Amino acid sequence: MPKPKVIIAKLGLDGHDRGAKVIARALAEAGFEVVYTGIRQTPSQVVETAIQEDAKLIGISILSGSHMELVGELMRIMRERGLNIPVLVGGIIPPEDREALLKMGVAGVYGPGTPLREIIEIVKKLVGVQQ
Amino acid sequence: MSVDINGLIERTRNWDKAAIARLITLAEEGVEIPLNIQRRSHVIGITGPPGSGKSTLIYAMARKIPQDRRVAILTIDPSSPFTGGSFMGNRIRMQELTSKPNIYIRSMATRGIRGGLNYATIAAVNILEYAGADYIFIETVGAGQSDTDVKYVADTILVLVPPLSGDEIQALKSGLMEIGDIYVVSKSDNQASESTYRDLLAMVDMVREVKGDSWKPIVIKVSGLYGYGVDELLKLIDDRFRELVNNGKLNESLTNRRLLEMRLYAYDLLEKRFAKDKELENDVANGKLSPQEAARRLLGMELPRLDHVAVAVRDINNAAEKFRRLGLKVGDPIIVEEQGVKVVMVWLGNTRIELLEPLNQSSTVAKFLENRGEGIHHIALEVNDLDEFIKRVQGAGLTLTGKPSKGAEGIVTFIHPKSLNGVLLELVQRRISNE
Repeated sequence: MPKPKVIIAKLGLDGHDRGAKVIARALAEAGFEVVYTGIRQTPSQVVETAIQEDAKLIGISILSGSHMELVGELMRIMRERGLNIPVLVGGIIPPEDREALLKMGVAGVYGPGTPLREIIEIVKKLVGVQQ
Repeated sequence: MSVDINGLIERTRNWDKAAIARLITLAEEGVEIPLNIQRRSHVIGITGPPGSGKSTLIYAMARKIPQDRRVAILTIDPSSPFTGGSFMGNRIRMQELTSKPNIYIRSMATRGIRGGLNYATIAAVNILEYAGADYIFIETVGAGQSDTDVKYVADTILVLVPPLSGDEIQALKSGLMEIGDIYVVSKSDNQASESTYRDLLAMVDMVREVKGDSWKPIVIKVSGLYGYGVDELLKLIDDRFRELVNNGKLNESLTNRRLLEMRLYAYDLLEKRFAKDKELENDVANGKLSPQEAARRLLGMELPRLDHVAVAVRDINNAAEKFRRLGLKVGDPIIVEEQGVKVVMVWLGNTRIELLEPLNQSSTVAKFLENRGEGIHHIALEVNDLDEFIKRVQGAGLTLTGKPSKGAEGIVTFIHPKSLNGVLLELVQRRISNE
């Protein structure tokens, strides 16, 4: 019974971790093994964590407004290190940045108010868990 | 999807973290990773109740270990018994170490029934030792007094005892408080640590006389958060490692690890079978099977079962060689004078084939060969209770060849082939049938 492992990380100078913890806990309750990295992670720390944990998905939470720079850097390091797994971004993301993030290769962007059930379904779909 | 396991194993030698990570995942999925382990790592188990500072202490130690030493950290968190998921937060305290080239950190969930270590943990230790780790820290779940399996895989055990965690009576209890090589009073940045320290010192003095070990358990006060006592602790750990190398204990402990690996792998297989066998679950739920019968069925120990099939042959060495060539496990010939036969066992899972060659012309097997030629001589069933089974035989109107007699493995009797469609059916009740 493979149990997909997912990483939930807070990127950059941002201590608002309630949302990330709620998501991490919800995914754990949905049967995932969730590694929560805690706050103030650098993009390279998150990529290293995903490699060492052999994770199948990275969930990023950002409320600081620096998502374009940090997620861009994250995607660049992932390519450099040959890590090819889906990245989801959650937090306060203006609509105009959403498209740009998706263009960078992010698999999905989800703001406040997204039902937990929806997020669980998306994660299941992305890591290939059968219902 | 086929995976190149040998390729991954090769890559671990260069401390390739992606390869190590992938192999550990495979082990978590129950895949056997074939490795030839030469002891070289100091495996250090860190145990103690939840919140006693295990992650923080590992962080404080690992950051002080020189960059040219390879450090692996396995940090174990509990799986939910309800959903199977796990919220793993131990990395939070160590994330600063994540980008260091010499350090590999892996979070592992307990998965399964036992709540302590699982097969994958042992496999991960093997993989990391093979990959050339100098230190392997195992942070246990901290389930408390039962969290003691770690002593079979770790060379050194650190038991963390935070201040204010009970009086000297707690310190004297069995289990966790017997396994420590080094007792660490964690969070020793406040006054309360002093009395915990004194209680532990008194306990250690009492235990030492009983254990008869050359290593005297040590008590030390440490604050992982502020770094007090960490250098001293690392020195103690390295001193102990030298002692284990010098007295040969490091190599000896591989036996314990292999035995634990066997046990945990068996639990793993059992869990998987249990999860798969919904029919069995239903049969127990609606009372068709007793829990004990179901458990025996799960383990392939349900009786009656096919004990063996005996085959009469003219040349036993020739026959044995054929089965050997099929890749089967074939035993050495055994002479059984009373039966007038030479026997070779061909082992198959929980049953076997017995090859029989007559020792002389008066043997029943010789007569069988003369009348019928080579072929299946008899089939044997192991039964729970031979007396009870004989009543069934009589009830069915079948005849026995004679009274039950004592054989090498228990009591046996035969049903005559004339009454059973030409099959000579042996019935065996082993000496301990309920084992």
